[in-house]
Amino acid sequence: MPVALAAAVVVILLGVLVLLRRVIVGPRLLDRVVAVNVIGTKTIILLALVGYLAGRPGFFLDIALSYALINFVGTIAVLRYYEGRVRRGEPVEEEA
Amino acid sequence: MSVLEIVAAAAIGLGSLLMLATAFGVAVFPDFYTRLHAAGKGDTLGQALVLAGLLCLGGDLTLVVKLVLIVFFIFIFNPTATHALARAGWVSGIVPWVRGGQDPGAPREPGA
Amino acid sequence: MGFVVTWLLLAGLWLGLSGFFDLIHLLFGAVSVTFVTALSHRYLTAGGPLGRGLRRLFGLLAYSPWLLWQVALANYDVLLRVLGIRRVDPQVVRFRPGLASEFGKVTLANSITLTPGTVTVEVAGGEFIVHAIAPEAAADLAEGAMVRRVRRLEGSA
Repeated sequence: MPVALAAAVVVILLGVLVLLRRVIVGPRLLDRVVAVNVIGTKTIILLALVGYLAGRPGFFLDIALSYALINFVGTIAVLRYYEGRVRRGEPVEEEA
Repeated sequence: MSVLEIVAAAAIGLGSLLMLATAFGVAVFPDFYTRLHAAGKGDTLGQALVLAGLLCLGGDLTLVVKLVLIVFFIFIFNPTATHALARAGWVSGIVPWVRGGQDPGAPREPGA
Repeated sequence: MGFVVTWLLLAGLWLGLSGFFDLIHLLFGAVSVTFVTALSHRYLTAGGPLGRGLRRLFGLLAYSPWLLWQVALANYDVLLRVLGIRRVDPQVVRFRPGLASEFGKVTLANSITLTPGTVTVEVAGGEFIVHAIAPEAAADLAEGAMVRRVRRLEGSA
C-alpha cells in the first residue's frame, strides 16, 4: 500500500508542476488565481496521502481540513479584492 | 493484500490520474472560462476517489468523520469557487473565446 | 431554538473530530462550541423558520445521488476534452428558469456548475448567464430536466 500512496503523491505533484506553468504564464491575473486554487485543492489531497504514508493520518487530516477552509476563504478574499478594484475602475493587471 | 486494499489502491490510482488530467486541462484549454471548466469539474471527482480509497484503509471513527467532511467541503467549495471566479471574470469583462470570432453573448469591452 | 440546534450540531462535530472523551477535552469543546454558536446561530434560521431549513436539508440529501452521478459524468466529459476526443467549442447561454426562491437559484447555479460542460457565470435577477463548453452541453441545459428537478425541490420545501 505505501507504494500506491507514494505513486499517487508523485502523479499529483506532476499535476502541480503543470499547473505552476499556468501560474507563471497567466496571461491574466484570474488565470493565475484559477491555477493556484486548483493547486490548493491538490494540496489537501497531498496532505491526506502524506499523513497515511507517515502513519499519522488523524493529525494530517486535521491540517487538510483546515487547509480546505483556508484555501476557499483565500480564493474568495482575492476575488472580493479584485472585484472591488474592477468596480472602482482601478487597473487590475500589471503593465506588460 | 486484501480485497479492500486492492479497491483502495485502484481508487487512489484512478483519482490521482483524474487530478493530473485536470491539471493538463487547466494548462492547455484556450481561454479563462474553458480552463474554469477543467478546474471546477476534474478535481471534484478525483479528490473524492482518492479520499474514498483512503477511507477503505480503515481506522477509527474520527478518521472516517474527517475524510467524509473533507469530501463534503470539496463538493460545496469547488462549484462555489468556480462560480465566484467565473463571475469575477465576467464583471471584469473577459470576453469568452469562441471558435472563429466574437461571441454574440459577450457583455462589454474588457476592463483590463 | 436555532441556538440549541446549532449548538447540538456543532457539539456533534466536535465529538466526531476530537475522539478524546476525558473531562478536560470535553470542557474545551463545550467552551468553543458555545463561542462559535454565539457567533453563528443566526445563519441556520436566516432563510426563514427552522423547520423549512431542515426540510430543505433533507430535500438536498434526496437530490444529491443524482448530482453525484452528474459529477462523475462531468469528469469523464472534461477528461475526453483534455485528451482531444471531444471538441472544445464554447458559447454563452442566457435563460430564465423561473425559480422563485434564493435557495432554488443557488441550488440550480451550483448544479449547472457541477454537471457536464456548463458553468454558471452570473445570476442577475431571474436571469442565468451560463458558459457552455460545447453546443451539446448548451442543448442539454435547454432541454430543462435539471430546472424541473430543482423546481420540484423548491416546491416540496
